[in-house]
Amino acid sequence: MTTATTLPFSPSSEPLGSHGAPDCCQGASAEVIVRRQNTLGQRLPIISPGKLEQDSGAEYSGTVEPDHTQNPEQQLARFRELSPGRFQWLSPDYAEGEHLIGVNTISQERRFAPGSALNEGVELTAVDGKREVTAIHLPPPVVINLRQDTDPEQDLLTLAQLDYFRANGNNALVFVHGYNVPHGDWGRFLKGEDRIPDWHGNGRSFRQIPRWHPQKATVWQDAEALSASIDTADVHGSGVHDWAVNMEYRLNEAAGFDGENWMPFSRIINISWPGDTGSTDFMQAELNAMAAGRRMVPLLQQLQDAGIAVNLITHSLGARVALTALNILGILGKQNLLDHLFLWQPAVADNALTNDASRDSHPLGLGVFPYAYKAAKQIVVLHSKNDGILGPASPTDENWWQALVRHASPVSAAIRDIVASNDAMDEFLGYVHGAYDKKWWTFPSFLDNGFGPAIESLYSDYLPLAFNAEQADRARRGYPLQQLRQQALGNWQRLEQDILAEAQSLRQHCIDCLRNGERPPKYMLLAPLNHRASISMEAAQEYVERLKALALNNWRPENAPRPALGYVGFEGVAKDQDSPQFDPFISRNFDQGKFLVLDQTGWLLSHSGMKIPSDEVFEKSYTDAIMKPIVREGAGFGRYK
Amino acid sequence: MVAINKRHWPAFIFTTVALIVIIWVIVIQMLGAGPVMSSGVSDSGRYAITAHKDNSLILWDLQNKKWQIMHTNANVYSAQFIPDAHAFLWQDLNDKVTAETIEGRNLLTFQHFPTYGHAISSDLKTYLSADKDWNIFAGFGESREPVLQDGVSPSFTGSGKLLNLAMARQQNLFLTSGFGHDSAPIAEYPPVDKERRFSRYSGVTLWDAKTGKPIAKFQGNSAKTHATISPDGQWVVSGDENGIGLYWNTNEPSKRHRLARYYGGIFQDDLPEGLPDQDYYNQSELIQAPKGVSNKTITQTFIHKSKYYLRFGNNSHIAALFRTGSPWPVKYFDLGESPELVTYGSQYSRNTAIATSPEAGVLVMGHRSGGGISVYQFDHEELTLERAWVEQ
Repeated sequence: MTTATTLPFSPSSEPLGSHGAPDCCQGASAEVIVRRQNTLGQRLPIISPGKLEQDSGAEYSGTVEPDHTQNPEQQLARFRELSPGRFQWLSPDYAEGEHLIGVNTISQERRFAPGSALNEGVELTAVDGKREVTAIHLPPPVVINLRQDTDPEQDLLTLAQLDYFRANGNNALVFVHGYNVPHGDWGRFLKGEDRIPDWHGNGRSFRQIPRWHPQKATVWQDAEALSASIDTADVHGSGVHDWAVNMEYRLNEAAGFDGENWMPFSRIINISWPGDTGSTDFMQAELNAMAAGRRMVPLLQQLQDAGIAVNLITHSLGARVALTALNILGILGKQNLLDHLFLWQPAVADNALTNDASRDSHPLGLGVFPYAYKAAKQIVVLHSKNDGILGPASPTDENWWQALVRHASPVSAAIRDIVASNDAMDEFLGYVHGAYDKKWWTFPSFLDNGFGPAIESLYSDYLPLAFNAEQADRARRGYPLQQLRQQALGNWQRLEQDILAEAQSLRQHCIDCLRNGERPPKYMLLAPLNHRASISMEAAQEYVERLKALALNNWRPENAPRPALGYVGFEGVAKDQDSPQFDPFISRNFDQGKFLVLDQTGWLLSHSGMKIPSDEVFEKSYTDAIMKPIVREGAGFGRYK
Repeated sequence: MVAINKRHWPAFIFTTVALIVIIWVIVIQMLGAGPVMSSGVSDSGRYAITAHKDNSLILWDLQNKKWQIMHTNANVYSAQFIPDAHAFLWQDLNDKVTAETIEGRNLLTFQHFPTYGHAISSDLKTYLSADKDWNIFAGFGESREPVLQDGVSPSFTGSGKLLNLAMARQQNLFLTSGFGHDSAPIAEYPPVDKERRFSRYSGVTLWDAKTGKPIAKFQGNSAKTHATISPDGQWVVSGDENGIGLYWNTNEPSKRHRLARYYGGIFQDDLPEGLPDQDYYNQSELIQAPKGVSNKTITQTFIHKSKYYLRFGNNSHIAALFRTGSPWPVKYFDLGESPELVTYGSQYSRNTAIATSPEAGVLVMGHRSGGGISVYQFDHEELTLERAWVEQ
C-alpha cells in the first residue's frame, strides 16, 4: 500500500470490534474483569459486580469470584460472553465515601471527580478476549464522633484507617471544629433536575427541583458549577460534615491538589464534639469541650504508638478540646507528640499556653493549660482582630461608608460561607461585642449567659446553693430566711463531700487508664478540671474553695476575662517586663521558634489598589501558614511533596 | 445684610462658586489620595515620593513643605527614590516602569510585569523587582532573568506582605525578606526551580547583586519578617511579627546576634534547659522601655549612614533607635500619637510606607488612614528625632 493510495477509511488505533459489524452480529467473545483498589493501591473487597450496559441497550450482569491470578483472598468481578463493543459500567454501591475516582486499563488511566460516574457509569470497551480493569476509589472519610456515650473503641481509628494513614505518608491531620457546630450529615451528588411547573395567576413558570443520588457525598463539590438552583448545604452537608468536606478540600488544595486528579487526595481525621449549646451558653460549651478533649487523648496516643506523625488544626473553641488533650498528654510526659498544633482563631485566654498555673485568671482554674506546650513541637496561633466574634471588629482603613456596613475578615467570611448560622443571636452578638467576651457577663435572664446557668446545671442536684432576702420574701409562708440558710449550707456540705469523693474514687482509675492508652473516666462534679489528668484531694479541696468564693459573688467573677488568644494573639502577655502580665516563658518560646503567632488582621490590596478577594486570601494563607510548615519543615500531609 | 451693588452680583456668584470648586478640588485631592502604600526619600533629604491607595503618585518638597501630584495611575507598591539623584522610580497601571526626575523628565522607561516592590541602583544599571508570588527578577526586557523563582508559596496574598527588597549602596549586595526562615543549604536547593511548590528562600536572604546568586540564608525569624541592609553593606538587621530581632555582619553571615527585646532583654541561646524562665534573658544594659513600644516589628530603616537604625513596631507610635553592631536599644522616640501612623492596625502589607534618607537623617511615614505623611529629622549628635512636618 503506497502512501498515495486513498483509502475509504482512516486507520484507527481503536480495538477491533468498535467498527465494522454491529454488536449483534459479532461473537460473544469478550470478557471484562474488574478489580477494586483505593488510591494507595490497596485492594478493596467486591460485594456486587455492578452492571455493564452496552450501547445497544443490552445489559449484562457479572459474578464475584476469588482472584486466583493475583490473590485468592481478594475478589474480582467477571463479566463473560460479551459482544465486543462499547459499554457503560455502572458501579455497584460501595462503602460510604469510597467514591470512584479513576479507572486503569492496559492502555490508559482515566481520572474523574467523585460522583461523576454515578449518572452515566464508566465507559469501557470490550474486545475479543479479556479486558482487565482496575477501579480506583477514594478511601472513606474519617469522622470520630465524641458526642454520644459510646464504647471506647469508637473513639479510636479502626485498623483499616490506621493502615491508610500509615501507607499515605505515615502522617495524619486532625481537625477539630469550633463552637456551635451541630453534627449534621453528608451532602449528596446531584442526579439531575426536574422542571416543575409553577402556576401563578394566568402565567406559568418552571421551578427546578433537584434529584439526588442516594449515596452520600463525602467530598467538596463545586455547587455553583452544578446548578444555580441548589442549596450548597445539600451538596456539602451540614454541621461537622460541612466543615469536613471544606477543610479537607482546602487543605489538599493548599498542598498541591489540582482538583482534577484525585489520586493524591488525602483524608483528614474530623473530630465531632458537642459544642452546640446555643449561642450564649458558652461556659457549657467550654465544659463540653474539655470532656471531649479528655476523650481525644487515647486517639492521639494510638497514633503516636502506631508511629504516625500528627498535625492538629483547631478552630475557635476547638482549641479548648485540643489543649485539654495536650495538657493531659503533657502531664503524661508525651513530649512533642504533635508535629504542629495550629490554633486558628482560638477561643481560649491569651495566656492559655503559659506553664504557670498561678497566672490563670479564670475563677475555677480552667483558663490555662500549663502542660500543653510539652506535647507539640510547634504551636502556631492564627489570629485576627477583624473576627467580630472573638472581640469587636476593629476599624480598618475602609472608606467610612464601608465601615458602616463592615464585614468581618476573610477568615470570618469563610466561616460564614462554610457554616450557615441559623441562630440570629450569633449575628447579633458578633456585631454587638463578640460572643467570647460576653461569656462572663450576667445578662438579663432571657439571655442564657454568665457562669450561673452552666454551674447551676452542673450542680442541679445540690441547688439551692445560695439564698437571699428576696427569696425569703417570696418563700412559702412559714419558711423563713433561717431555714433557707440551713438548706443552702446543707447543700454545700453535701456538694463538698461528693466532690472530694469523686476525686478520691476516680484518681487511680484515671492514672491507670491513661497509662494504658485507654479512655479515662470523665469528671462530672469536677468537670471544670477535666483538663487535668487526675485530680488529687488537695486540688479538689482547692476547687471547692474557689467555687465557694465564686458563689459568694453570685456566680460573678471578680476579674474580667483575659482577651481571646484568637483576637489579640500574645499582645497582652508579652508586653511589659515589670507588669504581672509579662511572661518570660511565652517570650522564650517565641525566641526559640516553638510558639508562632500570625496576625491576619490587615487588608490586602493588589498593585492597582483593588482589594484582593477574601476567598483568595483565605486560600493562599492556608497554603503559606499551615501547609508550608507541614510539608516543607514538618512531617508532611499525605504524600504531597 | 451686606449691600452689594446689583452689577456686582454675577462676579460675586462666580467668585464664590470658583472658590467652592477650588476648595472642593483641594479637599478631594487630600481626602481622595488614600493611604500611603510605598515611599522613598531622596538621599539629600529634600524630597520624598509616595504612592497611594488611589494610585496617585505624590512628590513632596520637604524643605518648602509643598506637595504635588505627579501622576494618578501609579502601581501602589512602586514608589522609590533613586540613590544619589533627584529622581524617582515608579510603575504605572499599564506596567510601564519609569525613572523620572523631579522635574518630570524620563531617564529610563520600559515595559515590565506588575511589580510588588522593586529597586534600582544609582547608575540605573541594576534593576530588581518582585512579583505577586514572591519571585525576584533582575533586569528588564530581553535581559530579564529570574533570580528567585521556586514556588507559589509563600506569596504576597498568602503571607499578607511584600517580599521586601533592600539594596546596599556601597557593595553589590541586596537582601530579601518575607516570612520565617529556611535552613536548607543553598548548594542543595537552587533558588530557581519550577518544580518546587514551597519556596526555600522566603526568609532573610543575602544575594550578590551582580551575579544574582544567593550568598547566605539567615535563620531565626518567624512569620512575617522584614530585614534591611546598611548602606555600606556590612550589617543585616531583621525583625518579625513575633518580636524576634536579629543582626548579622555580612562578613560573618553564619554568626547570628540577637537584639534585645525592649522589655525582656537578650535571649541567651546557649544556656542549658531547666533554668527558671527569667534566667534566659540578659538585661545587663537594657534601658527602661516606655509604655507602648512593641517588639512586633513592621519595618526597620537606617537613619544615619550605616551607624544608626530605627525599628518600628505594630500598634505603636514609639520607634526604637539602635546602633549597628550592638544588641541594645539606644533610645526611644515618641513619633506622636496623632495623627495615627501606618504602624497601627497590623498593616504589614504597607511596611514600605516608611522610608528614610540615612545620608540626611530624614524619616517619612505614612498615616494609618488618609493620604498624609509625617516627616522627622534625626540629629545624630544629639540623638534626637524631631517631627518637622505633618501633612494630612
